[in-house]
Amino acid sequence: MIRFFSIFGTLVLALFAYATYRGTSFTSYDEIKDVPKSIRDNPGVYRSVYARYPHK
Amino acid sequence: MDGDKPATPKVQTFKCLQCGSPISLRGLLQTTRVVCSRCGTVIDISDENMRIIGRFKERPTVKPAIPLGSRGAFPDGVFEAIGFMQRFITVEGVDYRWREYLLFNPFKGFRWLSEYNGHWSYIKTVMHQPRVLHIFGDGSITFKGSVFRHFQSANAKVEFVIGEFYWRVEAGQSCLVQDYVNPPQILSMERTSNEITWSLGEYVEPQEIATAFKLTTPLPARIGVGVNQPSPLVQQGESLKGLTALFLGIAISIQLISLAMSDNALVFQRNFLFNAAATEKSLVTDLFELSGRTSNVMVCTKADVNNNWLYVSMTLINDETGTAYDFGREIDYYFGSDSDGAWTEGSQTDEAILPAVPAGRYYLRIEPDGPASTRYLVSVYRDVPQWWPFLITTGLLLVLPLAVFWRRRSFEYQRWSESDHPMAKFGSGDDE
Amino acid sequence: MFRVNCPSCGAVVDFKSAASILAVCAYCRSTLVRHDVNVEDIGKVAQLKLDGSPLGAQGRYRGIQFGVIGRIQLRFDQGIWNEWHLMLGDGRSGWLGEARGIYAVSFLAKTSGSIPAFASLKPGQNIQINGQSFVVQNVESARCIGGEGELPFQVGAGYDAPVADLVGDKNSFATIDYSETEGNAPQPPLVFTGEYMEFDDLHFSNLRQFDGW
Repeated sequence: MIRFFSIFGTLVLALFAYATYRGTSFTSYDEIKDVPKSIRDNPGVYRSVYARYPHK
Repeated sequence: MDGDKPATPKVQTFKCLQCGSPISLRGLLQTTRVVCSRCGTVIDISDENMRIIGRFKERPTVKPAIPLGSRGAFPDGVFEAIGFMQRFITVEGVDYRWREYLLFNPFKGFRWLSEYNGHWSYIKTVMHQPRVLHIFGDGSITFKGSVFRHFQSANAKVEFVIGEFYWRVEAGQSCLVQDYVNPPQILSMERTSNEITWSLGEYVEPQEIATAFKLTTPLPARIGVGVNQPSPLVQQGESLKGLTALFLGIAISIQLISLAMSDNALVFQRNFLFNAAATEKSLVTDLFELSGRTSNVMVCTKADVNNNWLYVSMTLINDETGTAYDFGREIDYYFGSDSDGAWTEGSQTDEAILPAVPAGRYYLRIEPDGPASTRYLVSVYRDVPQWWPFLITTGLLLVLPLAVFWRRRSFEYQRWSESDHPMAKFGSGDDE
Repeated sequence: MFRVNCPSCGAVVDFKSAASILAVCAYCRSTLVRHDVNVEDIGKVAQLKLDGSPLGAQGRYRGIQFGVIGRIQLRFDQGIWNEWHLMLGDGRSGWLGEARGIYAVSFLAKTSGSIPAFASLKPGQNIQINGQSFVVQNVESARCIGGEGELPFQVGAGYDAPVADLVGDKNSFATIDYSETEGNAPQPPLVFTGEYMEFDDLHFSNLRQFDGW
């Protein structure tokens, strides 16, 4: 049992340290690549390929 | 004395003075009384003129689990079972019965095995005097440096007896018994009118008894927790405590470091007005810099909604790489009052966190929607501290220790349930 | 060592210990009292009850060899016990009380301070002996029913032996013998102090054998 707990605890802590370093969140979001620069001039043109409604 | 060796006493068999059935004497004349298993007559064998002393009217209702005459090997020697009795105490009108076996070795003397509810203890008379401790206020004592907690005091009566004994056994005999426990040990005091005897018992697994005496019939199954049964998980419990403390310490350190190191920098803030009547509702913000290592970004939206809602579809776009993070947030806030008083639902502020956003130059594309024109403030923070990961980590780390603690506590609760000092069901109890 | 021929039957009788003033002839059971260079036969003692007590010979107490050179047997209402007279390698004379597998070694002690009267003793009572605390364990009106071998006092056909056993810290043991406090020439009670010992710690050799054991 001690061995299991040691391994488990170490994994949990490692995961925690990594997540804290990089930031974590429960927010759902979609990552999209290659958004064209023309959006800055004409934001209305943008439509998310993955748009879901609502995101929260 | 050195030269002559008198004839060694052999095991004697004689006929019961009352009913004539054969009685074996195994105590090699170190015992003083024997009870006939057939008729219950008590015979004094302390001199050549055997005398009938009395009779046990109660016939045995159980057979000894260890047959008289069988020998068992224990760490301190080989012993033969020569006597058996059942005693009982009465607590709040209920009788609690247990059985005792007298074991004999001509050189080492006598030992006892006691069995209650299937739990066994190996018992030896001790000469060392215990000291009474007053710390616990319940008469606990120290014995040879260890603390023994008072378990029970009661008047024990003999119910029935077979075989030999080295003291006066009589029908109806009773004596005061006081038990003190320090699992796996139990210290018992028995007091009669002219003698006080202390004995120390040690918990023995039923399997060891069966093996020691090579028993073929199974021993009675164990019920509940034995008075001096060692607590399970004691060793693991101790190591677990240390390990848990270490892990929690590390988790707290990580959290403190993260709190200290997080920039929590406000990189963008702007007020906007959503015009519900406009044809093109979307907009893009000015560019802002997200610096430092890859870390989180918090987009905070505070909208002037009162009994209303605003939906914002947001995209955080990296101006250099074209990578974007697309998400939508609903901000709603309602309030009113009813028979219970004033109430509110929702919030005017919304916080969305995006994890692991690399450094770079970014802007937000915002497309709001809603039933009415609304003012809203958008703030973007870089590298904010978070509490959820820490709380989840702590929770995960505590699952196993809490389960072990609970198991041990419920074990102790069962142990003390039949004692003079039962534990409270919830709230602080005592460990061990 | 003092050696004589039994005046009654002629057998050789040894007084191994200088402390022994009495020896029982093993063959005819005459009790011989030693008077300097000769012995007086004061009559026969009862045959000891042949019992299960296993002792017979040598052992080692705290590193010192001892030999068992005599014994008296006492009866009390729970049965009998033996007091074995020991001669130790360092010349001391001691006693080994033995009953039901429980052993206690003790030596005659000089006491300062008074010893309570036998009639006033109760189990559980606290008593000080030479500055040490003891608790009374049992109080017995025992009777000495016989002896064998060498003994450091006179034992006749039998005598009343009121005795109290006490126990102190760390297995220490004491016994108070009131047998000489009554009668023509009353003596103060005799106090013996020592300790309880485990069978294994006495390193016995030359023990009596038993059938099946």
